[in-house]
Amino acid sequence: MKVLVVEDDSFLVNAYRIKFGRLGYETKMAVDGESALKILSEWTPDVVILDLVMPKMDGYEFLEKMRAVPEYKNIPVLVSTNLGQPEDVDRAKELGANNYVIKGNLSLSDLVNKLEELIPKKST
Amino acid sequence: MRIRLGRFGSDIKITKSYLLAIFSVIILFLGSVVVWNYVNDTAKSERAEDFESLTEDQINSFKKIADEAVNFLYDLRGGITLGEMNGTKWRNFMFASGLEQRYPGIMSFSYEEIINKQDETSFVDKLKKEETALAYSSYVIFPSSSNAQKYPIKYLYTYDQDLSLLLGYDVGTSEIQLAAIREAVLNGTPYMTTLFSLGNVVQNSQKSDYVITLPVYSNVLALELSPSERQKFLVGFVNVWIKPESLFGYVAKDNSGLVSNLAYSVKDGDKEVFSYQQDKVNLSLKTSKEINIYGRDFTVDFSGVKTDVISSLIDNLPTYAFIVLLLMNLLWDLTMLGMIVARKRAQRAADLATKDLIKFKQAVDGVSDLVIITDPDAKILYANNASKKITGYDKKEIIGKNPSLWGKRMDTDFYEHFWKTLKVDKKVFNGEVTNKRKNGEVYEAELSVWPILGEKKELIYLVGIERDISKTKAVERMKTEFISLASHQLRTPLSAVKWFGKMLADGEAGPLSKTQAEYLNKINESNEREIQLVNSLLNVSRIESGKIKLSPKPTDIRSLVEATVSDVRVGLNNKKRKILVDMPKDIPLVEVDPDLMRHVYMNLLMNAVNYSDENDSIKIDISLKDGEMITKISDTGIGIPAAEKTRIFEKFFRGSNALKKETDGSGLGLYLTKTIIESSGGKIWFESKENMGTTFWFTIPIESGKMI
Repeated sequence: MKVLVVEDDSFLVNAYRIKFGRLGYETKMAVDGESALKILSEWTPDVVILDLVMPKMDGYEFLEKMRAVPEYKNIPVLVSTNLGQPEDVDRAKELGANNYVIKGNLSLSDLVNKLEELIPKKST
Repeated sequence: MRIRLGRFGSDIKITKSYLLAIFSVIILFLGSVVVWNYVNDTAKSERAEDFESLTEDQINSFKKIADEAVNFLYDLRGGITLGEMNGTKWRNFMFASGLEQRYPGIMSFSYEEIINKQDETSFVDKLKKEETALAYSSYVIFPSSSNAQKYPIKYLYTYDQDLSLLLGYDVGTSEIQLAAIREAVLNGTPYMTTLFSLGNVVQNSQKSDYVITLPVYSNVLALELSPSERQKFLVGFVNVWIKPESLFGYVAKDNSGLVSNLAYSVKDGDKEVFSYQQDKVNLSLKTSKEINIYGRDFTVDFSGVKTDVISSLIDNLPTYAFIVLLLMNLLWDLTMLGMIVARKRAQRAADLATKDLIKFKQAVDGVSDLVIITDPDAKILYANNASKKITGYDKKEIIGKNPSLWGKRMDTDFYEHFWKTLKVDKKVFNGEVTNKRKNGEVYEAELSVWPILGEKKELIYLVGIERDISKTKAVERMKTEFISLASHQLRTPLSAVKWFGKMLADGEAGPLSKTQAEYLNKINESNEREIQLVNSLLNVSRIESGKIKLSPKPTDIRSLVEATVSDVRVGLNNKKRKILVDMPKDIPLVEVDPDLMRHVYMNLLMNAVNYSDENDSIKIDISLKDGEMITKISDTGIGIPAAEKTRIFEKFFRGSNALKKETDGSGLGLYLTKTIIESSGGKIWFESKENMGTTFWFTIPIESGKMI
């Protein structure tokens, strides 16, 4: 499985890397929306894990831009953030997020479960 | 709205009205005195006139008697002059006169013939011979005198016993008689004597008479001559004798009605010859009158009272007038006094009201919110000082205009609702609006508009208050952003700890020794508490900034409770508690925010777990009643100290026994729980006994959840 992780916090990037490496995912990391869009233009992941608060281009803007491109339109996006107010959730979902988790409220294993829910059942 | 303050004006007015009242009282008083004087004078003169005419009548009645007697004397004289007079004829004359009928027994008449002394005997003899009446049988002229001429009474007509003895009396022997005779002869007219006392002639007689005497001539032609010339024809005198009481008292006796209110005294010179007075008369009126009866002057002193109806009315008129005027004066004075008192009171009330009004106006002028008063069509009648500060428009620019000057930036739905609330529902409108200042700056405002209704519930005014909440809003937005960011920034490192800790605990980095696992567990637990604390703080902040938002959706309470209980069971770790759930199978979907509702159950259950002892049971009972879902969560734990029961829903409050039992805890749980329940339209309450346990109840309406 190919996962694009858009996350600016290096500790969390590390955690994703370790966990997904152990699970055998093909993972690419982007520290902001801009570089994520760049990666997308060269590589198409099965799913995107998206933080919202990031420098340069935040998660909302990335979502908006990504959903505007037909080729990226159907890539599922799991927002994984510590912004947890209903406005944030609503806004993200309006912009095309498929699911929304608050990092502090679940473990990485739980997150993987949510992630796999988003992938259509097919052989990996 | 301009409030005019006529303080000085009203002071002048009240002084004026005082003066006017006092002036009117004085004028009325003086007028009353004048009127009373006039009435009194009129009454007096009326009475005096009455009295005058009364006394005049009285005087005339005296004269009338004398006149009638004298008229008869003329008749007698004629009879004597024209033909032979004798005793029989004399008497017949008397009877024919009618005097006897009119004045029975009050007058006596006599005739005296003048004879020379030498003829005395022949006169007496002749008379004795001719007259048949018994009296003449002993007729004698008396008293004897040496006078050359004698005037013996030849004929006499009287009822008076004493007077009847005077037949033959020579009146020439009486100076009184002679004086009158002289006067009568001299003037040829009747003349009255002074009072002639019969006692001079008749022994022991107390009576006295006035005598009016009239000369008699032998020829009627003598009357054509001058008095001195006619003396040659003088043959005698006819006299009427009348007593003072008859002359002056006859009328009094006879016509008592006329004189019943009079008393009088008749004086002949200084001597009182007659007086008349009724008993018990209050004689307040006095007058004195002179009367001449055939050459004799009398003075009559009258006294009178008023008892007949008219005069009593007249007499009492001043009294009535006095009373009426006094009452009028009193009434007027009281009216004036009442007016002044009422005015003063009204003035005081007005002053107070004005003072209040001033206070109100100053207060309204000075408040920091925009306050306007408009007519029902929103034309502005009043604007306070803050209106310039908030809208940027001067009062001059605002008055008479419509608030759309700075408003009217909302959609049509808003204004439809606005006018419907005020004009149709006639209720207060509350809302938030976006307005634009004169300088183009857009600001947010809290708007309240009250309809002021008249007696018929018709709209008279609208009172609008606008509070500029732009700054508050900005602060709110900053606060929200800060909370979001802070929670994000706080939670991010905690998330990393959590994720790595969990992976470590799950053995993803290789197996751990028992001690390592135990320590790791402590780290994870502690980290978890930190995360929960941050979450709670976030929620509290959101509540306090009014940002907590329920996202109610039809929720299956059964599975929500089951999931929560199972989470709690997992979290029990090595704590041993029994959690017993009892709920009906057919709980309908309830309109609540599932995340927040989960928070409520979690919180109450964790409290029950944390503050009870090993092997204790915790019970959840859910029941449905009257459109509400009632949840009861009870434990047998440490309970809540009685003294602290009122404080347990307070933010950051923790029970003293709870602190000892579990050092962990933010003191935010029950505060949040209560807020969530009440936001959902429910209620929460509890019963507790220290060391016996606590039971919480809360209700949630099934029909519809209330939204913030």
